[in-house]
Amino acid sequence: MVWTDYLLALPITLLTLFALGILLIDFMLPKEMKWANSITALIGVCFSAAGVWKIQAWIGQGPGAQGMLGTMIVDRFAIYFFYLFLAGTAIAILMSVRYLETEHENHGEYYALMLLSVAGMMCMAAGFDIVLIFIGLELMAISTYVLVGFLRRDRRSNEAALKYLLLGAFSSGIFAYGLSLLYGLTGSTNLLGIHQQLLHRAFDPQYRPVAIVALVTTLTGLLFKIAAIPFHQWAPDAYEGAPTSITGFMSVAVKAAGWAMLLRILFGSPFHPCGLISLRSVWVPILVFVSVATMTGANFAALTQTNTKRLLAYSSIAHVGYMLLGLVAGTATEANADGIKGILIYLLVYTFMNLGAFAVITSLRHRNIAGDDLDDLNGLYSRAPVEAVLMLVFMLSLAGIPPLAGFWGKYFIFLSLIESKHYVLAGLGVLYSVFGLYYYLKIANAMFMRQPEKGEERLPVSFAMRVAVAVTGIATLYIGLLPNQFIEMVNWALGIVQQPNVAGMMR
Amino acid sequence: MTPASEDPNRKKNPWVQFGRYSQIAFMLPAGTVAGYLLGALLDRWLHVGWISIVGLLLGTVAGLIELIRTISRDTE
Repeated sequence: MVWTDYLLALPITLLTLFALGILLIDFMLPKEMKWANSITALIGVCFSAAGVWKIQAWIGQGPGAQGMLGTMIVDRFAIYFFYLFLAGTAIAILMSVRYLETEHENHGEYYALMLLSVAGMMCMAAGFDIVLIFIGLELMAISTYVLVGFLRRDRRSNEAALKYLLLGAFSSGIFAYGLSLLYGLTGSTNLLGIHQQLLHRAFDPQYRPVAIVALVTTLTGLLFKIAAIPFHQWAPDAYEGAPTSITGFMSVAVKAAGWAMLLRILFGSPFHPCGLISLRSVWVPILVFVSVATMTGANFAALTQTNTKRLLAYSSIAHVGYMLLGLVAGTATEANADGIKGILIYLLVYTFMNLGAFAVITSLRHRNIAGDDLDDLNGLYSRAPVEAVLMLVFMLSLAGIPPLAGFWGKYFIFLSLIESKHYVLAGLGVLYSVFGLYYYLKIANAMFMRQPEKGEERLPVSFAMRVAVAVTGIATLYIGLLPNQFIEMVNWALGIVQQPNVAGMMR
Repeated sequence: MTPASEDPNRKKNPWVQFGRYSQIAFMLPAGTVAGYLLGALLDRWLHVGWISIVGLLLGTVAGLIELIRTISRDTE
């Protein structure tokens, strides 16, 4: 190993060290001081972010650097995702402090598992070798299985963890099978090596059937991890049963990691196209089907939900459908840059608006009230006006109403579809967005138009939770009103040169 | 005799449910497009250029109000 390898692995190493540190410190903390683990975890996240910043400063104007014998690539794309994971984790940690106390499950392992899970996510985003990507995926997934079942006394949590574990293990098996076929076909585990071999073999009649089976099985694993229909069955149950703070964490950080892995395997790096890009003409029709099925199924299922966590789970699946359209946009051999940009912006804004929504739902958990039923939101405006107004902002943003952050994600995706003349898909996307508005406004209706249950007093909201709600609320409004610098950030991550002649269209 | 709209069998019919929920998707876009088209027609008739924008905004607001009314009715 050379010193650059140590530098590139610095954020992951720091997270791992802090995770182990939390486990040790937890032994020494008295029961009433367990909240201090969250501070250690937050410091770990900050140190890791400083590590990412150090790599960013080191690569300067360059696209990125490869290390660990070519298995790892920390390019601008990976750095963007690193920041996204860390931001999502920091907010989820803030959401967890009071929640774990209320649930009497305030253990150090919770935060340690969260940090280890982020270490896995970073391996997925920076992996340039399918072995590293798979190890990262398993590190993330196994940590998350435990986190989902963290409420040991809650049967729903146990059931969710078991379902997630079984279905997750099954999908990992299919994914590993696909990766092994790719290795068998190309003789390489490196994404560049796979690409170079596929360029010849994917179109050779002798190897093409194996290439397609490898693609389909790999894609199944990838689509399972981002919870696209028909591989979504785990998501509503896992989201509903998991501790609410973990539901928020899963819906943004774990999902963003799934997307980073999917983009890495399908496109390689924005600076070195590789991976399965040569099979684009095969995977685009599959993604069109999956995307339409996801938007249709998830939106219809969300309409009738009465549990807020389940509703947001289906909404989260529906958002995957919109994002998949960004991959479809483009020609048979090349993706549309605005489509990929749309996915990255979508993931950024989704991190804040969805975590904000989950933060408000988490704050509803007090005494013997679970807080995850739609009726628990009744009259929230009179019990916690600031939280209710911010929840409305998150809901409208999730629906994609301008000038909120969620609008920009949908804007770029639909723009890319129109640019590549996929008018029907763009039209479907818009219609389903209105569907979304219906169930998001159902939440607003409960908060503002209904009366709270008798005896409900003002909602006790902790300081950490107020910080989490404020940060996500400000970010949702700020990105929505002043999106330029965030669009430039995504342009930087993807190496897209700003086009001055269309500056008015805010590219 | 039970009115057709309150017939429980009719309410449970998946196709009726599908139709009822499908109209939600068209509420807002229909209002927006209708508002814009009416505005554009008035623009052509009166030889001005701003009524289409007003029509667009009014149509969007009308669509949104209709959507909120539907939600209030459904959640009663």
